[in-house]
Amino acid sequence: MRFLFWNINKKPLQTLVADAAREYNADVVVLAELADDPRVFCDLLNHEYPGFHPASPNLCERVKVFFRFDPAKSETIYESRWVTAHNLWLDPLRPLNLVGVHLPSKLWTTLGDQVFDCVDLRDTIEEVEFRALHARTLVVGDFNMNPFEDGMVAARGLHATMNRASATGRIVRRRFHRSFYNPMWSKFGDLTPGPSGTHYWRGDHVSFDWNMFDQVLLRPSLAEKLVQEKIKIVDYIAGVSLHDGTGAPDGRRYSDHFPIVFEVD
Amino acid sequence: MAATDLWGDIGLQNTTAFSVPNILKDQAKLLRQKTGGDVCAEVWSSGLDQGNVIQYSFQLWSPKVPNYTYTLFRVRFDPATAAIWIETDSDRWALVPDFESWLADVLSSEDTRDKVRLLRQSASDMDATALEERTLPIQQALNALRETRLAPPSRFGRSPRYSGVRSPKPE
Repeated sequence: MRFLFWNINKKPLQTLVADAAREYNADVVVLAELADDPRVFCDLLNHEYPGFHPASPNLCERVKVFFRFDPAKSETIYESRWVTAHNLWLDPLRPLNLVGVHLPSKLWTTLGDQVFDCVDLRDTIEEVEFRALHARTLVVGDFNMNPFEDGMVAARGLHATMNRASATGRIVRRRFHRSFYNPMWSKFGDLTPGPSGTHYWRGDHVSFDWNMFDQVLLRPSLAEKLVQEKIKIVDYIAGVSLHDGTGAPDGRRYSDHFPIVFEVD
Repeated sequence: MAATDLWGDIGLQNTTAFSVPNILKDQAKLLRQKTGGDVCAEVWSSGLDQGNVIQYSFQLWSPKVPNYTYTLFRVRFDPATAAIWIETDSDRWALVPDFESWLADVLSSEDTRDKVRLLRQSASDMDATALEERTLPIQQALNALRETRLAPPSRFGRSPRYSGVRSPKPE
């Protein structure tokens, strides 16, 4: 199953989204900051690349999900303003929980609040797994945090590790905490084939410049099914460059985030 | 012989303490009445900041939409100072001086009405036959997972649904 995630910065990018979905053969498209009505957007998307339908009831304001398969093979389990969670069973023997997120921006929250948001999200994910009756879960979206930040790595938070082998969970303070594998650690910096991150922002004294706010996290049972060479930060769609002149995402014309694509076998 | 009351007056008779969860639960009951039971609400609480702050989530659900809930808003309450924070549209947490007035604005807003309407619409779209069709594959998946012993953990302890599943005894 192939996934495309993009924070489209409230821009009318349906043609580019459709081109990317076609280029990467996406079965699931997850969008943050979609300004249009999802049904209208889906019609526009289908005009370019048919077969999509929006998830239902689709009450989440910040993340919208579109599937390109039989709607009877998905069930929405949980939504809030920031999170939308679905159980998918294209293959009934290998169901999958898809959790789409767009957590609050660093512009308006404190670092402490971001940690609490991750604790909340972790509880939500466990609730989703409980309701779906399985824990084959992937979480994708704009976390507005880098992979190394406290909320992302804390055992009581999302507990997302950089290494598949160590994503087995661990006991901290007498409580077992399950883990995620976060492959986006491996996409940082200029020694990777793609861009150095998914988002660029040059701040004041302490600035990473490149951030990896857009991430996918996988439970160990799914991590082994991730096709490593298919996970990619996309900076060209159908020959169209998403960069500005400096190599950063062109937020003026397109989005201030690059899309990510990945495949789970 | 009747026991002597050694408690004295513990001052509970005339208490009309302001209670965030009670206010939210009352509104949840009213929503159920207003929608004829199609859309319901419940209040979930969790501790933050080592238990010094309590966070309440107001969640919408429908008995006809299996497994689904939507968190309409979150509120944080500090019992020590009685301060209440609400989440604004710009994702900031802000102190709210008049909680009930803020809550009235949220519950009667167009946005909330839309969400209740959409959830009710989803409930009416899903009849009993559709429900059975949708849950059958889940049951199949569950059985497969049981066979591979991948049953998920639960934050509420082991689900009764798994009570019959046992690991095979060693040979």
